[in-house]
Amino acid sequence: MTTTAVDTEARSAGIRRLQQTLLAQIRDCQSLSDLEGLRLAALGKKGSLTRHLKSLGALPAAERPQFGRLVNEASQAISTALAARRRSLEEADWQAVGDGHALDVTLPGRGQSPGGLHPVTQVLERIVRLFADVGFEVVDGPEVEDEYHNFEALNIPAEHPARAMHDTFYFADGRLLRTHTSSVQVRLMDRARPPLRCIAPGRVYRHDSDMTHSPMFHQVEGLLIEQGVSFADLKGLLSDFLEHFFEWDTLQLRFRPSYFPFTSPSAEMDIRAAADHDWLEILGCGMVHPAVLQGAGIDPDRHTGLAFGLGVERLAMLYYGIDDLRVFFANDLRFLRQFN
Amino acid sequence: MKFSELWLREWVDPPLDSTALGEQLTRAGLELESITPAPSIPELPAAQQLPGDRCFDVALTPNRGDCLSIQGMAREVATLNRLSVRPPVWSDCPVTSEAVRPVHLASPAACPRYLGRIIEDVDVRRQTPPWMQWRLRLAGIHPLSVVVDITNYVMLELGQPLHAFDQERLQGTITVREAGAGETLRLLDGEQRTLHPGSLLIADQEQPLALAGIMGGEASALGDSTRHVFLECAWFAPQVIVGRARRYGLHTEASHRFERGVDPALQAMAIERASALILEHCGGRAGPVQEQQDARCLPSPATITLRVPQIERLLGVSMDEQQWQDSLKRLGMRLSRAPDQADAWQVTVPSWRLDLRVEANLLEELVRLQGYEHIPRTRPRMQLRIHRPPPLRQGLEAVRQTLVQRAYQEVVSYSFVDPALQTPLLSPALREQVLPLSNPISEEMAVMRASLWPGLLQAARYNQQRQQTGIRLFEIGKVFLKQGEAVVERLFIGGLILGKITERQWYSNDITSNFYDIKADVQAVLQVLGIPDPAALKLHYCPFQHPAFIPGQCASLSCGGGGPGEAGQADCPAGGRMDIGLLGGLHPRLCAGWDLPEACQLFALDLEKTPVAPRVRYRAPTRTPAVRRDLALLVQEQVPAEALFATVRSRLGPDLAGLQLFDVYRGKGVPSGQKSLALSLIFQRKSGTLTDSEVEGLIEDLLSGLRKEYDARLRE
Repeated sequence: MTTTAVDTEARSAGIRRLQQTLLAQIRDCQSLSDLEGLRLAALGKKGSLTRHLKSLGALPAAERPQFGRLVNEASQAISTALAARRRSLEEADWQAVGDGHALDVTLPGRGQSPGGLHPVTQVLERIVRLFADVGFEVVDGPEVEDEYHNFEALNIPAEHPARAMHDTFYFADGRLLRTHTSSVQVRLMDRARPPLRCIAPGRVYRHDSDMTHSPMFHQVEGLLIEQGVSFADLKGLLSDFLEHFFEWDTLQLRFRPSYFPFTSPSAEMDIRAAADHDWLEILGCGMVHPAVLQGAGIDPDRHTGLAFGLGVERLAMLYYGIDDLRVFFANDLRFLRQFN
Repeated sequence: MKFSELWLREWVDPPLDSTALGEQLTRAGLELESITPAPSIPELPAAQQLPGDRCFDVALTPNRGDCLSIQGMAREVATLNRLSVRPPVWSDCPVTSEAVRPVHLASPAACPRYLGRIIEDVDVRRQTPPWMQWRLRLAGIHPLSVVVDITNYVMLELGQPLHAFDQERLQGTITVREAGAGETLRLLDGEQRTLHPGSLLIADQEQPLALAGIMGGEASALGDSTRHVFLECAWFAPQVIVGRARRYGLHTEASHRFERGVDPALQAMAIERASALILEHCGGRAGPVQEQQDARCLPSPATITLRVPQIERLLGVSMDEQQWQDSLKRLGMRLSRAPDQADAWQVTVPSWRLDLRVEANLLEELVRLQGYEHIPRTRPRMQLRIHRPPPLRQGLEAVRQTLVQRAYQEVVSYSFVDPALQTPLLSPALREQVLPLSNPISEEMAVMRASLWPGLLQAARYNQQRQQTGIRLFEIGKVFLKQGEAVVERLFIGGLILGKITERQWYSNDITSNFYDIKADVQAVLQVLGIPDPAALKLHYCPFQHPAFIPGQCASLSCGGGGPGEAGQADCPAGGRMDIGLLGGLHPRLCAGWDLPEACQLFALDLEKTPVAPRVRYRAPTRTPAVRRDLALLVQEQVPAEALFATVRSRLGPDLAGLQLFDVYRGKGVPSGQKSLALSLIFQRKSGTLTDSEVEGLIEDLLSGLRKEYDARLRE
């Protein structure tokens, strides 16, 4: 072995030792400032590895490539180790800071929480959507009505016993608060020609107030006038509606005869949640009476019509399990917020 | 209609237990209310009690007056079960007296048939047979005395109300006539009544005796000393009875039946039945039945043409001829082929079914007998048609959702309110337009609401008293105004916030809500209604004097009309403008009156007047660089910010791409009586870049304009 070879060997070993020592120091370093010290000591202008690089020029040309590579590799390893150690020390710092200032993640979020819609509105919207989806147009009519639209045009003349079922609020000039949304039917037939398919949601009024009666409540009136609409269609449409409204697998429906002066045949629908429950009256309906059609200038031999009236609070009570009609209009937030 | 089940089963006895029978009635449209076990009646001896009997209560619809008797119910049950009725058998009583009393029908349209009979030497003090008392009691009728009980019994049995007079208290001819002005009558309930002219009366030569078809009079009533009875059995037209009883505050078994229509062919049978029972239980000698009638005014059984194809057309089910004909015949109808129409039949309705008038009624009977449960469920066929959505409706849903997201709870309150609570909340002009009800439920619900605020405040108070916090309420509904002869309904949205801006929370509490909080909600509502840019629709918030609000903390919201400069004036001229809303802080005096301990902000918007913005026209974003300049301007307190903004906008025109107010300051460095408004202006040109000197020039111009118009100065 030549002296040069021996020297080369010794220099290489020196670099490797230096690398090992520096890596160990980096590994054991416990603060970012010490780490910066180590970086300067190794890679700074006067750092140990920098010095080796600078000394390359003094070496014999034959040794330079090999020794140069060795020094570069060592520098890279040190840089990598420094960066890794830096990340881990920084992370530990964040952790230490965080440990002292950890958030209580169980505290409520900031800002307003939403309010909510009245259950009557929610049920109304649900009803309206089901019918609007199959092409019923939503229409509106006045709540202050006259005798003609609320009664006479619906085949309920002044002396009809059915008026006893409609305890009516009157105004001084003989006008009244509509007792049902059926009055909208009349207004609609007055201004539009068949085919007609409409629903009219709204407030109605009866002069009656106790546990089970409210002087104001909501109805949805439905009217469909087409050629060839039949009583079986009425049963089908309303059965479909109730099944989709309640979405109860055990829901039972009953369609039975009833009487309204403005429909014939007339029917009432009852529902029960299951076979062992009592039947509950849920809506009145029927085929539009020919006299009502004729009164509106519609030929009953050309067009038939079906009509129905839903009690919204009734549906809401069943839907949500509410047992007192009066809670709807007390506007108690403890009641209203249950539906948010 | 309440009745004894055993009594019905004497007439017709289907092989059904009580529950099944009740179910059958309901399915036939005679809705069963209840079946209750026979009560124990202490007045009756034990041997006469019928513990196996039950009381049926059937809720009859007003068209089924024919079922207001055992006979009627029995007919229905027989028809449903394909049985025949077994009426009781009696023989007409022998005529053993010649006593008669003349009757005159002065109003034949109202009373076209009147049967009268005198029965002499009746022992009215006998006891009503216990079986009869039983049946009366189960029907809810209290037994009184034997003759009256018998008339009631026949009414329950056959459906024909009768009346018994004390023959010796009658003078001369009985006249059925209309009451004249000022006539009075003391009825059996003991009350003296002044009769409405036109009311149908039974009268003798001297005086009114009874309100026809409603109630008898006291003076001619049977008493313990009665010896001879005058029995009345008449047919009164429904339209002269209906409504009359109610007008006198009366509702009697008789009026209930007459107003629904009594079988006009029933009177002869009923008077014989009653006579036979009187003779059987009280003795006596019957005179001949005197019948007065005007056949022209009696309803004749309807004959209805039934076109066979209509069955399937209207009902959506097919029925074979035998089936539907059998149904109609079982209901007592007679059929013959229509002479001049193919595939059509003439159907003659029985005398007791006054409710069947038109073909649809016959179809209803067909389907009723078949059972509605057997009707198939089919789906209507319709032509597809796209409707133009009503603009407001979609807007309303968005408005609701917006307010819900802003922590509001929707309420629904009554449309009638307490005038004492409402009046202080209305402007003087609106107070004149309040619409009162003629027959309110109570003073607290005496007038229609002209504002949504009474309902909102009532709800706020209710919840405040129940320790609820974070009260933010809104309602969408109509208000009602009387404008001359017209009644105007307007759809409004009203809102209320009470107390702090948020519910109590664990961070920053205690910011009391004020005018600007509710204004933000109003602006949000207007934005979802499609009004993003107030300037586009000339929307103005103007200071407003209103008795319900804190002076200086109320604004009216209007749109259209004159330029923005006018908004600077203290009172907003209404020329060309439409008021669409009002907002502000409730006057402390009213807060106290409503027991509200905290500040309360209110708003109301007339949804039908609120304009909808024109459709959006897209503009490409400007690509040239923008320059921002902040200016703090000193102006007099009374200069409204909006007026200043308007001047800035009009002065800078298209070069202004954005304007934002970022500070309002009063205090150190600002002379008293003035305020500093800090504006951030974004300058931008569609083409080309604005140089610094150009911007400086624009600002220079702007400042001189503002100085001229508002004496505004740059704050150093």
